[in-house]
Amino acid sequence: MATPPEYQRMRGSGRRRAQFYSLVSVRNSVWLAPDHLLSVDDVFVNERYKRFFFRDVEAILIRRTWKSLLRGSAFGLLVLLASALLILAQRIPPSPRQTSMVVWGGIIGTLGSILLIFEVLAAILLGSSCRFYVRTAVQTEELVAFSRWRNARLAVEVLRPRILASQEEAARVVPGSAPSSGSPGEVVASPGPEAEPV
Amino acid sequence: MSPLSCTKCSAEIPSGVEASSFLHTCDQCGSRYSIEVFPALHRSRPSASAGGRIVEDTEASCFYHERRRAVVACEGCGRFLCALCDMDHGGAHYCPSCLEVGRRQGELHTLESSRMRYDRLAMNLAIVPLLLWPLTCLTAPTALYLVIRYWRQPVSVVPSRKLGFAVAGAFAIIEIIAWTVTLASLLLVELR
Repeated sequence: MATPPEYQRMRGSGRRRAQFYSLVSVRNSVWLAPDHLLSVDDVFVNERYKRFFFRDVEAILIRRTWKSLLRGSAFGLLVLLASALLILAQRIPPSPRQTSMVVWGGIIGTLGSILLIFEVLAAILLGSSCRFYVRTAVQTEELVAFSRWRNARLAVEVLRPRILASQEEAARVVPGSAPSSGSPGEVVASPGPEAEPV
Repeated sequence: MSPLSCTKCSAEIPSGVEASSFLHTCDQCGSRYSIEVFPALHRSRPSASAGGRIVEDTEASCFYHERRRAVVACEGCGRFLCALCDMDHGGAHYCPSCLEVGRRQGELHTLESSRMRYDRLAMNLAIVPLLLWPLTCLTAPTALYLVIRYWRQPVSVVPSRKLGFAVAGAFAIIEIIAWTVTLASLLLVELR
């Protein structure tokens, strides 16, 4: 009936828990087709698909979140804790306790610094964290792949002309889908059967 | 048209905020939004009573509802359909039976909602049981079977490589060879 559409991957990928109590995480990626957006959830050996046809998309909402700031603060606290341990270790006389404090300070400090550097780099390169929602007539779905502000804005820039073009075309073909406020372009009759009835 | 609402606290977002170039702040929870609204939000939706009744005898009727006026022909079977039976699928119009047949036979690709990744399954069967190596006598042939059985099928709806199959196949073959050599040497020792 139809040939499979060719998909092009959009920038960004994200993870979320399958259930809030679950250890299994779901990896989400988003792909672009000529007439729709495909959200792919990878769950172990399964792939789950959700399609959002451009003509059905009513709105895109991007909500800023504090996630990256909170994560950065947590990693910063780790670095502070490690620094405190190392300073304290310098103030006590040489002993096995001092050695263990230095070792633990070193481990925590290295770990915290690496995570903090990654978080700061991600914030600089990809922007702060956010949540990306696509709203249609029947659902409002979050796309975890666009969890960074820059990726989310880029996705909107890519999607906006396609969605508008698709909805203008739909309004020209199907009279019922014309915006009530009046859309540009002439509304023509729907393609009805012209042959004899069955 | 139902209004937009905050995705955190469900408070209604006033209309017209999308025109602003600044971020909208939710009055109740203080969440900050960037909002992009499209014409579909203002589209009037067809009511449940859609599908006009036949007024004149010369009008084409729906194949499934003979008293209702046909508005479109099914692109699968060509039957005339009323607005109730018209299944709009990505711009194409199908009758309910064609849509169901297309979904079942996998001909309507955009109706596929999930797929088993046999490459990942084969890879897990070939590699993970190495931790409990006696299990590989069962899992390696199974992995090899999956590789051979599904090699020609598309791995996923989206473009994907067959690297998983190749790795799983290589591991499975090595494990099978290892088992064969071990069993053969044991048999030879027994025979001597």
